[in-house]
Amino acid sequence: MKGKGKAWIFLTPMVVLVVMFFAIPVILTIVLSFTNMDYTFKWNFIGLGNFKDIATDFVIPKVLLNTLIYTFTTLALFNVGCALLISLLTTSMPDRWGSFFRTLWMLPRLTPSVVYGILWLWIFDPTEHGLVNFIRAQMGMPPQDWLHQAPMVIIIVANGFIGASMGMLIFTAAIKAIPTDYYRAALIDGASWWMITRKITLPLIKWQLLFVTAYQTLSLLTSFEYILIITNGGPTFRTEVWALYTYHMAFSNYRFGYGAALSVILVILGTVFALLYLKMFKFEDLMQKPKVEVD
Amino acid sequence: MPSIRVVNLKKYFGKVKAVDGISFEVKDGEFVALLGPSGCGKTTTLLMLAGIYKPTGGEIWFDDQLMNDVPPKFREIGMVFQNYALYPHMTIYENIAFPLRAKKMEEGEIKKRVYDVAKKLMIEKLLDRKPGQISGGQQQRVALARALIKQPKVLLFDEPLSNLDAKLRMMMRAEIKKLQEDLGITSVYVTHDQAEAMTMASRIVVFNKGKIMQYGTPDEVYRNPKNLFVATFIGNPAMNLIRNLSYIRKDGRAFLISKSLHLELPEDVAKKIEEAKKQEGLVLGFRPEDAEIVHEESGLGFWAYVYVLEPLGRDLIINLKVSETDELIKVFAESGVVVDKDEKVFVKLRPEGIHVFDSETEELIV
Ligand SMILES: Nc1ncnc2c1ncn2[C@@H]1O[C@H](COP(=O)(O)OP(=O)(O)O)[C@@H](O)[C@H]1O
Ligand SMILES: [Mg+2]
Repeated sequence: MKGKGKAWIFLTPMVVLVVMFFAIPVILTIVLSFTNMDYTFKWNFIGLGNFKDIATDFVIPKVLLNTLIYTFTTLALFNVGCALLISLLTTSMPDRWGSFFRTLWMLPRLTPSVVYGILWLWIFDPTEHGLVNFIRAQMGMPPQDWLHQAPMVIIIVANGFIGASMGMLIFTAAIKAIPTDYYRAALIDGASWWMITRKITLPLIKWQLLFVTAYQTLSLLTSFEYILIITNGGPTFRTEVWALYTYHMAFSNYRFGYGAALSVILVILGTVFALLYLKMFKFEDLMQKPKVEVD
Repeated sequence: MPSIRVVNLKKYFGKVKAVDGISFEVKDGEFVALLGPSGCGKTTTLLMLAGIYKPTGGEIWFDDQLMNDVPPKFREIGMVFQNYALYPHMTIYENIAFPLRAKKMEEGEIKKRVYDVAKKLMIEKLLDRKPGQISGGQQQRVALARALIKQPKVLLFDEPLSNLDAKLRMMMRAEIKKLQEDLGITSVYVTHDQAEAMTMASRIVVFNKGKIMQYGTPDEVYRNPKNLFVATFIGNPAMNLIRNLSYIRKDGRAFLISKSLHLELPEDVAKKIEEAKKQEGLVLGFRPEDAEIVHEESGLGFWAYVYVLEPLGRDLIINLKVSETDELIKVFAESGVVVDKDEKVFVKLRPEGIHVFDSETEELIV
């Protein structure tokens, strides 16, 4: 048998899997978005009807605003911000302590997500059985319905605590890969911790910053499981984000065609953000320039 | 410029005794080399001088100030690292300006100083490039410029030339030496290359396994090695050693003997061996240039046979063996000398070139 034939034998199983579980669903979703399929499962093509409906859907502006607030606040405060801060601090202390604090931040990752969600429900339970209200009761303060007062804050914090660990791992690994001599040289030259961080560490982990920012934007845009468990989008759409709205449309209201159209728009939104990041981080500069040897 | 005094300095990493109680001093403006094989604690010593590592024990003095607890930035040190440690994302200009930026110097002054030092090191055309876009030799110069720009009182070099090719290394060797002489900055230069240490330094600290083997001028460590380590580490080719010798006296004459060798000793050498009270396990050492190949027995020496010849152009290295099981002996000869392979020849020694070591303590006896 020729080399090429052999290669195809090895490739085929993977290609079949990719086509079955990736390509076909994507195409189906796009096709579906041009139908008004409902619980009857009929392929009823209505052209751009769904997209026109989205444009006039009175909930959409609220959902879009929620999505942007939720995504970028979580991203800035936790998934990138907090992750970066923890990495910078834990790599500036003796390694034993650094590892300890990082392990602490990893714990939420090791908790099953439903358990993790329910944990937050318990923390902010409106009765005195909830952790926060229990503590308040000990100090003689009345219980508060936190999930009603600040639902957005709660889902951001809940997502942030678990989301920060990935960035933390990547940033820490990247910082540790920076040659020690750079830091020694800087210390001998009298640079402060802040100057070292700003002029040496951050520029040298730029690529990882870009990666985590882009990756986490996409995952915050598309994931909704903790919101589903903690607030289910409520009270009254106050935490309804795009992905959750899509889920509600498709699986609570059985408007599969409308849901598909919503998810197509979400994909486009994500792509736009990814491209913006590449521009912002001057991605071209990250590509290796040719080495020139001149005398 | 300060003098440096190191007293019983120690650095342990857990069980590893990287530096184990060393003492030496560097005079004001002097150029001293720390010489030793890889892993012997040279870098660790340098990093303690720089204030990056805290000593496990001992003292570091700059003039009469105890430096142990002084942070690096107050030590007024310039350091050149083995891999240069240039920041890859900054231009050469920014790299050189970095120490001045850390001092929050005013921009005009920074610019002036960067151009001055760049000119001195002939890198002014490279200032807007990045380190990845210049050659190794140029990176070396940039690293030197960054170390010099803050006008340090002490310069530390950690094997700065080991990544360059042989020709460039020879050139930079002379240049660094000249620069140091001109500026008169007290300098400690770490290297594993004995030729570098010999040619550049006014004194050499020979290091092994975290301890100092000998401290002296290049001539002292070459002519009068205090132990087997220094004898074999310094010099290229290394000092010849003939091991497992016994000392005997017969009819009033003194000899070093083994199964295959019989060497009569001058009386002064014999006296010293007798004073040391060692009879067995002696090692004879002599440098390749302290012997001569002749065809008949004459004076001090022993018989050996020619093993292989290494012509070097001007000189010739004759490799000999006393017997099949002995180590090779190398002797310099002028290229005109005619010997044949396997020929039996007489290795005639210069009396003042003879060294005898104790193989147990490895210390010099004569
Ligand atoms: N940070 C460290 N942690 C543990 N061991 C170290 C550390 N730095 C150096 N060592 C050990 O100390 C010894 C001396 O190292 P070093 O000073 O780098 O040697 P040299 O520069 O002479 O090659 C080596 O055995 C090395 O493995
Ligand atoms: Mg070293």
